[in-house]
Amino acid sequence: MKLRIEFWGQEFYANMIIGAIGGFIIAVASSLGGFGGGPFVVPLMTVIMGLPIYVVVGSSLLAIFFNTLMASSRYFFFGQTDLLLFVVMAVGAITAGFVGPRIAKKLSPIWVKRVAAVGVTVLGLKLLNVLG
Amino acid sequence: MRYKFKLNLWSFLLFFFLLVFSKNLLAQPQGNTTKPEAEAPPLKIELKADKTSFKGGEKIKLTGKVPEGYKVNFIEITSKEKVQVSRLDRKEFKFYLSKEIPAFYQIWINEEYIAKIDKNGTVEEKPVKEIYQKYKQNKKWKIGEFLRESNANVAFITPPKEIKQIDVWKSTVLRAIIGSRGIKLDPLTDKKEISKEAARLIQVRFKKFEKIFVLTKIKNNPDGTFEAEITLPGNAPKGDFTVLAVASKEVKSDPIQLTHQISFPTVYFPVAGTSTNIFGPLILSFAICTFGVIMGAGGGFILNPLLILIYGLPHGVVAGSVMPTVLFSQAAGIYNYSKIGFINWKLGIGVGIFMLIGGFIGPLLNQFVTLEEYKFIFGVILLILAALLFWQTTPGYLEKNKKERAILQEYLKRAKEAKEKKSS
Repeated sequence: MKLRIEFWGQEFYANMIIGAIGGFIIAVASSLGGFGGGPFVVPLMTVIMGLPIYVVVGSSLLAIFFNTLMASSRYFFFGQTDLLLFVVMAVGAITAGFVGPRIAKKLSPIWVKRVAAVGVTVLGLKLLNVLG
Repeated sequence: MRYKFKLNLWSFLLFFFLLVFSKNLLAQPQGNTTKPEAEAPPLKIELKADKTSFKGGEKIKLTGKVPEGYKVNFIEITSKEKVQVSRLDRKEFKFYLSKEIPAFYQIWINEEYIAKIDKNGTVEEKPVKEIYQKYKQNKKWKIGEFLRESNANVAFITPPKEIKQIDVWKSTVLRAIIGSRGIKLDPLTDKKEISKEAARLIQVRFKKFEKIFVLTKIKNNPDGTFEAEITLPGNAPKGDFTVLAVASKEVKSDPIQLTHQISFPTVYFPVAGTSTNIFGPLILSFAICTFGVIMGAGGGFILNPLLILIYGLPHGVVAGSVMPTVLFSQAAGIYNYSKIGFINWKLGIGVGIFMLIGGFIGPLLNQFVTLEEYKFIFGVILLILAALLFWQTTPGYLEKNKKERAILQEYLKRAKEAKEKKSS
């Protein structure tokens, strides 16, 4: 099932079956873990569904928003949202939203990603009890 | 006729007399025999603390007097703050949930105590120190077994008393797929069952054996007095704690109250059930999210495991509190992109519907998995993310990305110009 997408006069065809299955799996994993699914949804739409990055930036955000909204309200009604912790985390995140882009301008994005890849690997291995 | 009536009247009076006074007549001798027993004071431990309020890490001295022939073997400490704890029983596939689990619970055990285990009539004696070491090393320890083996169940008093309701669901895979906990069964009402399940939920809440059970020196003097020292950690919940000294099933003290005082910047997180310096999580969130923004992925990936590893918060509370924080930035992003016509609604909503369904199921699975499983799943996700990030720095990807990024910039420029034209 191909979905015809028009974007600024250009036409693309997106495979919605892959999009639906991929989106569902990413949403389950990300709402189970409690993080946004951005770094997974963007490659899903670009690499697997074959859409160019400029079509994906805004639309992927919209898709993720559905997941975040649903999962957040589910957690809230399950009584698992600590409002004080939420406020503390939100203040940190919002301030970071202002500071982050300013620092990002001064850094090489490739090296940031490489450092991040190493850091995320270490943390992942730690969670898997491979590293003490 | 008259005589008969009289007789009846007399018999009636006699009957009435017996009815009214029989209780006293019969009760008197009984009362006499039971009286000496009732008069003897019930065996109670006197318990005193050297302070009524304390700070985290501060030593609290407990003293008191024990009835002759007994020793204080256990001290039970329970916070009055409650948290919600749930667990999925994998054998019966039943989901248990209680909102009344104490946010802090410990049983301190006299290290010199010798546990008596009744094995089919023959009583076996074993130093509690040995049992303690055995359970401490066992990662798959079970709280019910330890309570029985160490006789500590005589000190497991407050939770079964305070926990009034434990809800139960019968879960099935099919129900879990549609995002339901299962078929709701009647809540546990049997005292014994509540006690058993309360212990299991307490194990789920505190996880580590040493966090619940502490070996300590309780000095029982020959004159019947005793001394002990307890300390509670700084991350213990604020407010009142109940402390009980226990010698055996029958002999224990009345509960005394201690208050944990916390003052800003230390705050109590009521759902997480932990007190922490507020600047710790705040700085952590800021630092991680800044890094997240720079690398182009949200902060939750790194923030959630760190909150669990550093502060030991329950994984459900971490996910439930961090997830909503990105709502604002996402909403703002969508608004900004939509204003410049950069959102394809068909694509966004099309994939979004399926992500909505996924977001309905994920939080339920979060309740069904244990901390260990959560860590495992998260670890795998992080390794995939690391691979993705690394792949995005390879020359092939960069080449392709470069072209598309250039077009993206071009479109963004055009969009801005178009918008400016419109507004002017």
